[in-house]
Parts: sequence; C-alpha cells; structure tokens
Amino acid sequence: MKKITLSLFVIAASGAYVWNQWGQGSASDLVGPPLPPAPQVQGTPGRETNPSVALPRAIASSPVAASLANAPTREQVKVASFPPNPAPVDALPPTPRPAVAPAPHLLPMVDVPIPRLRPANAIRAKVTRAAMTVASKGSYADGSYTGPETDAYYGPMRIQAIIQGGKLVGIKVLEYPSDRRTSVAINRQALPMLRDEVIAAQSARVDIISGATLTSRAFIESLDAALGQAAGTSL
Amino acid sequence: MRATRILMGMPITVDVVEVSDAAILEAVFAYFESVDCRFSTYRPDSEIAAINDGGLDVGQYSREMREVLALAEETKRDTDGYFDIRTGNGSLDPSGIVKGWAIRNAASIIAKTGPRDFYIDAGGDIQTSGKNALGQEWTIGIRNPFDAAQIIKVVQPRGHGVATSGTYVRGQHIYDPHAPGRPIDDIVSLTVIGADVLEADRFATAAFAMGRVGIEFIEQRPGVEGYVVDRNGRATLTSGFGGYCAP
Repeated sequence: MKKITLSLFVIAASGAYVWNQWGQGSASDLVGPPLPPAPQVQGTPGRETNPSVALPRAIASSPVAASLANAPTREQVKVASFPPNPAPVDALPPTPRPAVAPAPHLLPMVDVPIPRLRPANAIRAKVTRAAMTVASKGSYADGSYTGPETDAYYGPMRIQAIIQGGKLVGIKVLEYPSDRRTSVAINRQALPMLRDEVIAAQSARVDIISGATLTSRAFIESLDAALGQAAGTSL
Repeated sequence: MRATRILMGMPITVDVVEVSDAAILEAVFAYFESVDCRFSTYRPDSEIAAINDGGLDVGQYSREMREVLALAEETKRDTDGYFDIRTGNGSLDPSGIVKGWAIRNAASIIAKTGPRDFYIDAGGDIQTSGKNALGQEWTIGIRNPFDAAQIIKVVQPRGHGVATSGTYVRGQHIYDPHAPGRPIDDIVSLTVIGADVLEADRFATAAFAMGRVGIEFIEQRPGVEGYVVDRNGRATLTSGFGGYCAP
C-alpha cells in the first residue's frame, strides 16, 4: 500500500508539473490558496540542479555497504529530485510515512514485486492537492469531473479533477496501472553483489548520446479531458 | 555523412563515415518511414491500426508484422510477461519492440551496400558499426536523467547495441511520446547493452517495467548488461557493464 501511495503521489505530482508546462493555452487559473513553499522551491524552470541532489564532481563508486552509509535519506532528497524543477511538487503536503530505511541494496533484501491482480473495484483513491501556477484564462464550474480511462500501457489510468471556487483544488487517481500479473523468477542467491555508484557528470567528448524520451502520456490525457469537462469545452 | 530527420515521432540520426553520396542515408530514412506506415498506432491507415480495428485477418498480416509479433511474443516469454504489447484496452501496440527491430534492419541495409563504419541513433537507441571518422571506437554518453545537458557515463559498445528506457521530462518540453505511457517508478533511466540494438531495446523496455528489480533481471540474463539510475541519483551496474565503460 505504501508503494501505491508513493507511486500515486509521484504520478500526480509529476503529472501536475507536466500538465503545468503543457497546457498553457488550455487551462484557467486553478490555483487555490498557495500552499507553504518548501525550501527548494525554484522560481523559474531551468537547468539548475536541485541543490539537495548536487552531483559529486567525481564518481564515488563504493561497495554496497559503504554506499548505504552515504545514501541520501528520503527526507533529504524526496520526490523533488525528479523531475528537475519540482516547484509544484515541493508545495504538496508530505505524505505521512514511517522513517525509511536507507536506499535499498540488492542482496538479499530487495522486494520482488508480489504478483497482484487488479482488484475488481477501483483502487482506493488518494486525494492529492496539486498547486498549479498556470496563467488565468476562464474558469471551471465547481464539482468533480472524471476523465476517461486512458491507457498507461501497464494498466488503465483514470483521473478525477475536483473544482472548488472555480479552481482545481485536488486530483484523485481513481485507477492506477498495477498490471504486474507475474513476478520475475530471479535466483538472488546466485547473483554477485552489484556495484552501486552516485551518478556524476562526465566531461568526456562523445560521438552519440543515449537517453530516454518517454512521459506518462496517459496521465496527461485523462486529466486534460477531466478539466475539459469542468471548463465546458474540449481542450 | 550525417543527417537527422524526425520520423516515427523521434529524431533519427544516420551517420555513415566516408560516404559522400546521400543516397544511402535516404534509403535508411525511407525504410524508417515505411516502418512507421506499417506499425504506427497513430496512423489510421497503418497495418497495426487495421489489426486493432479487427479489419485484418491473420492470414493477411504482412511478413514484417508477423515477424514483429513473434518477437513480441518471445520477449513476453523471456520476461515473464513484463514485456507485453497488449495494452490495457486490449489493442496491440508493438512500439516497444519495433524501434530496436527497425534500427537493426536499417543497419543491415547500410552494411549490405558496403560501408563498415556507421551508426544509427533513433530516439536514443543506438546501433554502431566499425569506427568513427577519426578511426576510434564510437563513444556513447548516457544522458543524465536529471539534467539533459549532462552525461553521466561514457561507454564504447564496440558494435553492440545500446538502448535506454526511462521516464523523465527535459526542461520545459514534454516529448510527444510515440510509445505507450508508463507509470513513473522508483527508477528513472535504464540503459541496456546487448548483442544488437534489438536485444538491447526489448530488454530495456521490459526491465524498466520491473522497477528496481529490473537490473537484477538484466544481470541474470546472459548477453545483456545494464546501468540503471534511480530517482535518488544512485546508479547500479551489472557485473559486465564495466567492460563497456571508456577507459
């Protein structure tokens, strides 16, 4: 359940950020009363790295045990490390959770995902306040609006937008993809200890760059459609 | 000669060393366009759209479609179902395997016409061959998932394929995904090096879906090596990955 809560939190938060950047022309002023800013709020999105995850100058590779000792605690790093400009994320209230263990190492205590059938009824919804900082452009009618079920590849996703006072005050994730039908058979005892390291910027010249370019499109689609209903127009 | 085009919803770069005629590049781009026409779920007249609409009989599937669907099925078995081209609503979306498959085929197109030194980069999945224009091993940088202007690792795949799966947003721009959306997980970037880019791509896709456990799956799987970055900026290497790192 903690895993789901955290994942929902991350999805909602980064979806909120993503939606913020994307829906310039398609949203109205949704900001409720501003939530208390966190220390690392950054005014303008840019390339500054969040200081709480400043990368070391050199790679600090180390055995897993030592790297555990240096692992940033979750309070220190939090979700703010991803995405890079988490102003909306920082404004979200902290999800209550117990003191966390250090970053997990790989032998022998990693949790293998337990096979979990998608429940017949929707997963219990978690309300997440989302602080939006979008330019004002029209208004939304009060109420709760449910977006369509969208395909998040590993299961369906459905977002509900809650409007009060003409503003978006909350997002409910009604359906979350949890389509892990199987667990992978891994004989962990047979694996050697894998090396950990903290990532660090490299200055070498390279011919080609490999990186990923995927985003959670399904979240954006469902939220956008929900807001479209609230605005009375299709966005 | 090098050129970049936006095809299949992503930038595709083809660089063939010591070639002055653009014909080979045009042939490669034309091939990617044909792949898009067949496999894009965003094109209403594609073969995959016809299949998903129920308007195509299995006996009418093209050879390429059958090949890709068979590869998808094999990958699904190899990954205990973590790779599955069937989406939540029951339709098929093979884009998780088409990219690597297409790059591999495009590399064959180049190799068959002669050149030994080239690379193809389609949306961060890369197949190299031979050496660069300076006669050195091709070097590939893995992009920092937290800062697109940085690289965090330098590898020399020496002809092996490289694929990176991940979920992150770069600066103010959201990439318009032509791959299925993913739930964001506790890992943000996974790079796989495999025998060729198809191997790397299909296992990068599946292993990413496994979250933190994915790197162990890569470690256990012969023939592929991996480098995963979690959302705290901590990376894990499989035991053979170091062998690809630049000296």
